[in-house]
Amino acid sequence: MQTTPPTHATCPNCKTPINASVAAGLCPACLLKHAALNDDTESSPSTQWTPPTVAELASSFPQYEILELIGRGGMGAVYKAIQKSLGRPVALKILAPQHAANPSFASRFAQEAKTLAEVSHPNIVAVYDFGQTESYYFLTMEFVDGVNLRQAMNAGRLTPEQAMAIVPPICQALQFAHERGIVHRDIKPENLLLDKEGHVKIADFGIVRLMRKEAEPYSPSTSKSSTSSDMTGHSVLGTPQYMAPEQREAPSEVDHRADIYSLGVVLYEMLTGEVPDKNLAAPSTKVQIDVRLDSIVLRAIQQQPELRYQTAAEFRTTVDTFVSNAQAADRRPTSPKTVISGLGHVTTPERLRTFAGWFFFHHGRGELILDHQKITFRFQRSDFSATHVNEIPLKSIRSVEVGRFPAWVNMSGLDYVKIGYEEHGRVRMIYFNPASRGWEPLASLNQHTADWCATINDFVNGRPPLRVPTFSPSHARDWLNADLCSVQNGVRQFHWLRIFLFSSIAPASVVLIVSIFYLLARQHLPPTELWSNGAFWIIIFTSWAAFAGGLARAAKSTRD
Amino acid sequence: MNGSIPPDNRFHTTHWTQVVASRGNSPAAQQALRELSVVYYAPVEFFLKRYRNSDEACDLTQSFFAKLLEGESLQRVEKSKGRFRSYLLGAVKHFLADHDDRQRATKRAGDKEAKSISASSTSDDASERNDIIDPRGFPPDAYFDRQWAVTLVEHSIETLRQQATTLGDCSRFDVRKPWIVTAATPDEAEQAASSLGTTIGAYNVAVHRLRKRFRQVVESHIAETVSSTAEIHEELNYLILALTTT
Repeated sequence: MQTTPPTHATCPNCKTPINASVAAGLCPACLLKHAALNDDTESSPSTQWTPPTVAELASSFPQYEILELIGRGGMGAVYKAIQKSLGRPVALKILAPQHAANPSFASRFAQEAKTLAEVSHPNIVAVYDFGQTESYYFLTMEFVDGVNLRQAMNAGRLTPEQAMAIVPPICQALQFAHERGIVHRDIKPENLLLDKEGHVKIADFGIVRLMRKEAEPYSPSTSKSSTSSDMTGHSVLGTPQYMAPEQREAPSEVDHRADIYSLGVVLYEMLTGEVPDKNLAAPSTKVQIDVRLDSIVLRAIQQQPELRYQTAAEFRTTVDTFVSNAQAADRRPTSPKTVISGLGHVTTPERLRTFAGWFFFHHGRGELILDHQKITFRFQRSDFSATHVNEIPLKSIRSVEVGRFPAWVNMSGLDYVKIGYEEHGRVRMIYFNPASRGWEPLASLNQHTADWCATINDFVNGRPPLRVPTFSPSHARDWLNADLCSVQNGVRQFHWLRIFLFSSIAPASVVLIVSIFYLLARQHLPPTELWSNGAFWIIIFTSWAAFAGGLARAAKSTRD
Repeated sequence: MNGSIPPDNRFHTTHWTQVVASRGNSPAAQQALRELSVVYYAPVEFFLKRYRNSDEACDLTQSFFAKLLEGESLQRVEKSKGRFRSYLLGAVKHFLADHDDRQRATKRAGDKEAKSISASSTSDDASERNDIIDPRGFPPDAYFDRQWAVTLVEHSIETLRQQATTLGDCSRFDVRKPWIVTAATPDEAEQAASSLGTTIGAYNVAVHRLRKRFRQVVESHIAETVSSTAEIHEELNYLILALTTT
């Protein structure tokens, strides 16, 4: 039974010192916060509320044709309805009755709704009407035909481009509202609606504020100074994960920067699929995205409001700048700066499966060049194939790792860089092992391979490389034969030649030379008598047979 | 259901509403007040210790509650207004002022045994329990509120423990209770689950229920000291602020 009670000297949540003999060693503040925050409607009988059915509502709202319940939450329920007079679809929001228990709610509600109606912006869900029936306070709003961001994220992870496209319009809308002194206070994916045209709209503006005010005391309690009774009004309402720290800890100090924080959390979630935890890990450490996004996101979710973007407009400008830079980089037809280059061997798995490839006879001379956008293989001599340039854009690279050639290629273990890239929707592999100097120890060659691998990896992940290996192509140029032997790239026409060379001529010559040497040296035959020896003719026949067999195989390979 | 207040939303009669309604005169109100006093004895005692040394504070607390339970001071309580916490703080201050007046009067009357009025909270067993809260760092009201919040939390935890003990799984409660506030990592949850001989799923459900019960218990305890439903969350938020404001 002695498991896991973490007996921290400080509270793991809020880092304040705690005393083991108070409240069973738990942090009283966090316990109470917990009691306040997890106010889900199911769990707490005192706030439980079942939204009325469509039929029950119909009598209260004769001017609307209520179609269906489309959402519910702690604050109320939303129905899709048709405004009969105009025939337009509207979203009808009913506020949960416990919020309206306070008699002064009505006047505040009217006041708030009027403010909300003033916030007319293309990216904010418009408020059409508000009022009170005998049983309900209600708002009617623009009906957005689409999904909320939560549903969109559940349906499939957004690309960074999509995520970045959502932020600027929200910032615009927030800026618009902030300039009018209205803070949303509950920005979260559920409140960001995407319509079918891809427009994004913020819903539930000011509702939290309305609800918060509802919790204000009827009168200052007897023993409290006026400041402390003001503070009681700022209750901890909102959605915890998206809530700025000051919103939890000092609700009285909340300003528009709390919205910027919440939007930062939403952006973080769009990029990584999860909300930031306490460590605030940079998004690029969780998923493969542009490293420049890290600073953009992390600035928005700074714990101290002073360190965040100070306005939504500033946030938007930063995002816009990033997006336009990224687009410009895509379009730029530049001659990018070479990072590293060097000679190397190149092959593909397809090539290694062929007979000659099996023996690793696939070298041609070629230069490997890595720049900020791609890896290029440039061939310097057209021996087997026509001179051509083959490129792999860094964007299409899916994996970079180190592999090891089989033992018959190099007994002591020669490494190569294995790059998986996407071409026409298929993932293809290419192997290469860079070589720098003439005759280098194997360990040094493998080190170069590892350096290449690390460098390419860094570039693919958008990080500046930790170290750039140096290569001097001149040394190796003459003895290295690097060639991109890609079956798909027209090399195949020369395939038969190599098969011919290596499977006809080579074995035939070997048989011939060895046998003649044997006869001459071991049998002590004088060269003049070679012609009369029967064994000599057998040898000639055998080597011709080997030659013919190789020829046939080469011919067959051209037909394939 | 149109128009009517949902049944769950009605505010049940609580200790404090009973006390207020009868101004402490009915037997039920007397009992209610006694129960409230038992729970919230500690904040008053800590509050008084700021003004008196430990022994004297204990005596004063006892005589304060004795006087409170006599019910005289309750005549001043206004109906449907105020909370037990505010009332108690006011009453304690009043009591202390009265006490000081009487003491001065006695001194003028020639009592030789003068006592120090300055706060001298010596290091004893009580201050050990109290060392998360620095009494000198806060104005007296905030200090009282803070003690009140701590007492509420302790009372709630104690209630949960008693519930668990009645059900015979006190030890399980001890394993689970740290996770009321902290989200366990999968490893920790697994360890805890295996120590209780249950699956992770069952363990997580149990923790979830515990959290839910904790919320309910806190709400019900607060409800005992306020006079309407709407005030429960307000009071809760107030106590959170009391604990977190520095």
